[in-house]
Amino acid sequence: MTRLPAVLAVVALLAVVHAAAAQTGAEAKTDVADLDLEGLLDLDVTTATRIDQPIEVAPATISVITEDRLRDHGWATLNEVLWSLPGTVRSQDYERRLVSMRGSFQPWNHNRLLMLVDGVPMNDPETGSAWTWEAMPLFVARRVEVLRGPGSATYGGNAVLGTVAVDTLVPADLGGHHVQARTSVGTRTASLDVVAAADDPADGGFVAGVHVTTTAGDKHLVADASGRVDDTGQLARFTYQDERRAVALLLKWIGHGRAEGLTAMALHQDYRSELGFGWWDWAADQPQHATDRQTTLQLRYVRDRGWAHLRTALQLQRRGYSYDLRILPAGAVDGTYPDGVDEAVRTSFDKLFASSQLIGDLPRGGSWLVGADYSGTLYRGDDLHTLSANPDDPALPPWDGSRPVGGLYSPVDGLPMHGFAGYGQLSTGGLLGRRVEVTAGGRVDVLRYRFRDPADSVLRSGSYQRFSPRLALVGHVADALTVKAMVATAFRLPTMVELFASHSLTSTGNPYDLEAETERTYEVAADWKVNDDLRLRTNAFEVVDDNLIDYTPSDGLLHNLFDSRRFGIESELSFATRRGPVEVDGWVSYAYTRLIEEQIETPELSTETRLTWVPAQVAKLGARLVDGPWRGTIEVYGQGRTFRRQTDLATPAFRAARPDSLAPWVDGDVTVARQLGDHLRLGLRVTGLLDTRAPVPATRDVGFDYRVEPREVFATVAVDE
Amino acid sequence: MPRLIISGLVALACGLGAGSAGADSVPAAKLGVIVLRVLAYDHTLASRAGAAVVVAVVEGADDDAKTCAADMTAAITKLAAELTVSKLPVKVARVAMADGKGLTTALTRLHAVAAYACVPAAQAAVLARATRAAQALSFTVDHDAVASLAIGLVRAADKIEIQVNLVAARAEGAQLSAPLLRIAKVVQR
Repeated sequence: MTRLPAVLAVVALLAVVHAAAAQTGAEAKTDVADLDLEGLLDLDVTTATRIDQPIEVAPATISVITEDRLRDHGWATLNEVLWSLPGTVRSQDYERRLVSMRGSFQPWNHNRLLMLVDGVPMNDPETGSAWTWEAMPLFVARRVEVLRGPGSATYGGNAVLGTVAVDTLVPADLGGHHVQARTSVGTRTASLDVVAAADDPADGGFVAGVHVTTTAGDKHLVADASGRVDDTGQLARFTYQDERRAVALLLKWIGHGRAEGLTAMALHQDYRSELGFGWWDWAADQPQHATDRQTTLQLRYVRDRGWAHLRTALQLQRRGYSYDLRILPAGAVDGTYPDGVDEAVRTSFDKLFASSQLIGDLPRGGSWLVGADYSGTLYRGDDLHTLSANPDDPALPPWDGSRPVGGLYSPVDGLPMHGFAGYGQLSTGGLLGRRVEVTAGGRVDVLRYRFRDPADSVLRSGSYQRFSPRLALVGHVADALTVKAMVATAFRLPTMVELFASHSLTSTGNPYDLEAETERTYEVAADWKVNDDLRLRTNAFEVVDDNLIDYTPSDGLLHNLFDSRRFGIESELSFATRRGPVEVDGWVSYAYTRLIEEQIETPELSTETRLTWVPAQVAKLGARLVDGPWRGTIEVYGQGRTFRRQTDLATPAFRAARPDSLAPWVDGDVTVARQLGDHLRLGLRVTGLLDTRAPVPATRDVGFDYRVEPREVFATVAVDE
Repeated sequence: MPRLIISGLVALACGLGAGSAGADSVPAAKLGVIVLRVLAYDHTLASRAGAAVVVAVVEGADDDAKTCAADMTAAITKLAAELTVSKLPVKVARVAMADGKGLTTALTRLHAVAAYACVPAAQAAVLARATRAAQALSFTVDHDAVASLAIGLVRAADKIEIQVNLVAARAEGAQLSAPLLRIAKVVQR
């Protein structure tokens, strides 16, 4: 099945090489007067191809959010950044606030989005999650690039709907030797960021930072999934528990002199959250919470020689967590569980990632790239895993108190999972009088592992192999207009939790017949620089998803359930202008997605003819104004009606407790700040300005929806010394 | 396949010799093309240039300066194969930082129309004396050096900002056109 695309890709590569060779030497030199100076001044993007390119010629749909915009808009999480981009949608699944896009609802695992930190993949090694909520500190970012669309030909798994690339701070961002501190106190939330930098020609550059945030969350009364009723016979309402706190530490060293090109970075993330209604959507009668930790050590080395540039990276991730779950309250299921059901876990994983790539230049601005990646993930048992019901008996009989149970991932205890990849890419540079550029590439990913079969404890082996080709054509139709045509495939492999989760009430793995999720995307895009102040970027896509993995509602087992085909457009008008001392920049965007068809491999979920769980339409507006010492920003987010599946409306009591479809809504945030002297900035920020508390769909047949957090007012103080 | 990939990883990691560049700086090729593009906005270029547009890369004594000069020289050499400035061919030469007189002599002999500074900001004043005497438009990436030199290409958050010291530019014989000054930030008139 993978041979045809492989053959097509090789043919395309050969054609492109031939065309590039034919162009060499055939054209006269270009005069620099033909180059747009303002375009040259824009810093390049790298996420599309791993190679620096101006955004308008990068063969992808990309947004760049720079440090000054991050700070001025007052965004606290990557979610807030992503929700400002064309077509992204605010979602939530269990306690996690998430980003859905291109008509695809993103569930709790949030693993159809790849996260790169300084160019190195940093998704959670257990579930493949991209941590875009408070767990990923935004204060470390000097720049965020977001690629909407497939990226597997360049980066491999998880880069299905998009890729988020976070570049961390360097001393130059803080003016060499500097300390910046910012504190923000809101009606529910408080945070503190402190970053210090030093730069020495001999010792190198250093950045150190700490981030602490805590929020009381959005506690409110709402029905759960238990069906319990109050004295009046109505669905009983319970307090939704939502407190969260995050701590992060960053240390970074950048080599100078003989160590030029070497960068070392350590990032520690610690995130604790209450769990809303918990894993089974029953309101807890005792505290329950989860603490996620991740420590990442990253070493990167860059060497440039005349004929090639080498980029290497080595990264060690230690991911750990402790969960104290109150699965069911006392007396649940008609008294079957008189003491309720608890599950406690203390466990960790290690992941080693190594990559190396060579990039070379070709005539006419072309380039070639080859590279290889390795990743190894190892689970070595739990420090603690206890339950108060027997997870290995389908009847889930209660135990008298909590008992130790088998390892959460016992099938792969001590057995590493190995991932290998090789990739190549060729960009022709300017062809046909520099009017056309072609980028072609492909990547082979292999995952190999051994596991003890849960059925008979026999050691078996398993593997996945994927080939991901891409082909993109960028045409310079006019000086101010660039058009792009792109086709690419992407994939996501089943994760450790989907394959091997065992002895748990949170998940049961399926090591036998899960296939990789795949996606094909056909996309056309245009980038039109209307005038010096306006730029219009529009793209249209068709996405074909196959084999999306999810839980079957009745038995909670994992299968390849969803296939779908969707069409969409995303359009953004960005502006930037200066009138005397006043500078204004911002964006207006609109996106529409339509479901063409879907198939679901279980009758327990209804097949629909229109988009469900995410709105078909979403529109956004953002602006920033700078006038002397004053700065102000506004962001407006609006989305159309959101529909549910028919099977989400099966229980009459739940259907009475929430609307059949979710009404359109609009809300926004504003920020005003004033610089006082050289070192102090005071600000005021209001989020949820209209206090809509709009519902965010819970994608199950339950008695509640999540909601947009209520209005919050923040005072901020930033010191720059 | 896995063995092949691991072998590839090791080979790639060990395969290259010395020579390096920081991952977070603006690439020399990008700065080089901006230098050439800015020169095209100079009304006096044709009279100053003669048969070719010669860019002198002025190299300081420390390791960073040598790396900067090597990278910029290589970048402009590569650009010269593809670009012209006001229909004139481009040439590049490396010049060692010297005292004002020695540097003036070197720049004059080269008929340099531009001097790209790979020197510490502390030496900018010395360099400026030479570029004014030799009528070579000076470029720097160091914001502090724009007090003495003519054109700063300073990295801002999401772009490169052109800073123009008009006094210095005029003293170096350049007449920069209005379209450039509309894009640039004029720091000294």
